[in-house]
Amino acid sequence: MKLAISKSDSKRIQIPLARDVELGPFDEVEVAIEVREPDYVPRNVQLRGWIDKNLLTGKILKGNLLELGKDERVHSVQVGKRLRIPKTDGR
Amino acid sequence: MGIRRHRPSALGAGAAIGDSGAAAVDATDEVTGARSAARRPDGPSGLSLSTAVAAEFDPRLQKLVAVRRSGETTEATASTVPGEVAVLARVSDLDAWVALSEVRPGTAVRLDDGSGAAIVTARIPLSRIEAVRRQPFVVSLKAAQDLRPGLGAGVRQTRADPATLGAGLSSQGGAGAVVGIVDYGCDFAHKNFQSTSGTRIEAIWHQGGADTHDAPFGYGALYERAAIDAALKQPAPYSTLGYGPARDTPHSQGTHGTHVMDIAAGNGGGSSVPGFAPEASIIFVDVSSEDIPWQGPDVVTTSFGDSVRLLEAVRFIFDRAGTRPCVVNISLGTNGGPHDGTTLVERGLDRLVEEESNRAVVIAASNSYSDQIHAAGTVVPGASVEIKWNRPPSTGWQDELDIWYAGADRIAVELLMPDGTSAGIVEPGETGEAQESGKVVLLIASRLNDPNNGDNNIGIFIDDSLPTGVWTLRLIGRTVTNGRFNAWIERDDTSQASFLDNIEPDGTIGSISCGRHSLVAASYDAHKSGTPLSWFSSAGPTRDGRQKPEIAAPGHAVAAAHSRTSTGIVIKSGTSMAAPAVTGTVALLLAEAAARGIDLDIGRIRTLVTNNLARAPGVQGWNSRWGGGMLDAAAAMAALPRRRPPGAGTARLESSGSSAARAAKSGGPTRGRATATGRKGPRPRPSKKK
Repeated sequence: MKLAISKSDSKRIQIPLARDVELGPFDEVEVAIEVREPDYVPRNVQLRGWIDKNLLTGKILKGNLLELGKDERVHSVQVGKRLRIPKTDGR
Repeated sequence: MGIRRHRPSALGAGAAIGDSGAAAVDATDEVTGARSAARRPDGPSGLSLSTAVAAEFDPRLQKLVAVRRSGETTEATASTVPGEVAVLARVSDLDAWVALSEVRPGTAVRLDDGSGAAIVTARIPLSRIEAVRRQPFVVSLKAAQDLRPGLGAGVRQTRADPATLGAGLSSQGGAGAVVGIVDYGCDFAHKNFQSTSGTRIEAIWHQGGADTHDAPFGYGALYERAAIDAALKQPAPYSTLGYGPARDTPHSQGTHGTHVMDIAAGNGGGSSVPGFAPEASIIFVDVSSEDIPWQGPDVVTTSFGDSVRLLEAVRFIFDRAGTRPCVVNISLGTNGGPHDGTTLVERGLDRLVEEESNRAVVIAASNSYSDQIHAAGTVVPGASVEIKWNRPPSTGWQDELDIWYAGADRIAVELLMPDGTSAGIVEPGETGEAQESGKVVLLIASRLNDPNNGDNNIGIFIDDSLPTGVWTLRLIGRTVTNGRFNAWIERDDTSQASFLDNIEPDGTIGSISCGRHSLVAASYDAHKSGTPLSWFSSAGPTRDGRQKPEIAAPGHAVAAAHSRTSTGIVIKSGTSMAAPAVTGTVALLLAEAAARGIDLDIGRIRTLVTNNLARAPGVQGWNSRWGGGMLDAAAAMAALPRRRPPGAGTARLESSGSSAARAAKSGGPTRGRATATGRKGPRPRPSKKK
């Protein structure tokens, strides 16, 4: 087994690798997006709501993430990451 | 070096592991076989004994007398009747002791000194404790200690019980404050969350529920107080409401969220043991979901939330709380991430508590101290560092690993499989991918200059189909000025991978627990006189060297509400249980501050709590596992200013680093509410788009 090497995609996108692997381009992903301009909603993003005026949450097709990462008015994007309950073992 | 792995106990004391495989919610009304609640005499009182009596009285008896003077009484236990208390005494005249009408004798052991003295047990009326103690033949009298771990122990040990907090408070039990719980499995039918007027839960937002028209952010199901109250009047409340906590399984007893909620804000109405802020209002967001498309044949379909939805949950809670003081508890987390507070989730949480005074977020530190999930070291120019990474035989999960290093450095990574074969080298800024039968089974992404912190990140994904055993990461220094790296293995409750070398137990706190403003809680055992630290409690500091956790609280063997039992309790351990102790205490402080007309910004809230800690055993100053010390609610409360300044409106106490304080210093405008649209005023409803 050998790795096929390519250049990394946009550095603005943080996506859990398991999700990157599992989801296809037409699957929706939930994202938090920090924008440089207040109230700016990037193209192709279905707005869900605002955390503050520069931080929004929404949905986007995974296949559109690359374009989102090239948007100069977008500072960074975080694709939803699975949360866990901290493991507890004993009393 | 052996591999340390931890499994859930059959009884589910470590319920979190088993929880992950169970349905998160269950709207049917089958009731778990209820365990009877512990009945403990934890009653509120601000009264104290007369000085003459207090000096010689057992502190627990003092509290019981204070309880009685406040008009309350003790509940029945297995061996006492209501209004009665079990005692242990040393008496010089056994016959005289037994002859007392107040005494219901238990056992007696005569001492061998020929004096007639004896050690005795008995039950005596609460109203007669002082009279019995004054008898000349009663040498000592102590309340019997309940050996069963209980929530009350943590409340007392942190001095959060009403009797210790003091009589001069303007608030009671956090009344007026809102406690937000972001977790899963809210048992609204447990009597610890009900008052004489109905439910204490203002709203439940089940993010994974079928969409309702009024759901926040346009998804999930929202259950308002009126609907909860209506359901509680029915014989089948869960099916009536359409929401309920998951049933017990052999591996999981009691839902995590109900337990956490009880510690923070239960009133003891069912179990008789109140939590830290028993009068606070409650808003619960259930983050469990089955509609997040976590795909793959082996992925458990129920998720305990998502980082984006977590942000939305906290936004919703603060919006619902409005102008009331509010503290949100998050006993969730992940391992992977930059651990420097720069993720959008952490920064979003920071902004939400900066936005308004009287808001706070408390997060569990995590329980990964012994799991060998963190490795760290230094790469030097032209050389390499090898890290052994053990992937045990898996039961159906992938592995993920996250490496962070300084933005100016350039480090390549080579991955060697268990048989020593190299999968290849990925240079900085490249992505390496391997497929088998059209499926990506190995992915290495080397990202340069993360937009949030400027550092570099290497992520590695290994599919479950690849060989288990010891893999080797070889980090190769191409351009190195700093050289320091940190690596974390993501959580896997069924088959946790671990590092075999370069292990660094510090820096094991959760990756959402590194924000600037969150209060992060470690765990200790409040039932033992030495208050030992919990073996699992994760360590700080953050990757950028900030002191987290800030605080330790009782999280070991905590008995709190057992879902689907109405009145029962169950024992759970974890920093998940420590965090709500801090949350409840912050609610007490916020409620009292509000009652005194004082606004507290997040910096001041943090200072109040962290500057008034009890010293952890054997520790001086901040410690990577203990934080600054043990929670001391009474000390924090005592540090709260007594009154607002004369002639002032609402006094705002701000830390020097707050945005408002900075604005004031610069002559700029004082802070107004930064709404989602940048306008000041009422917040617009979130978009309904999904």
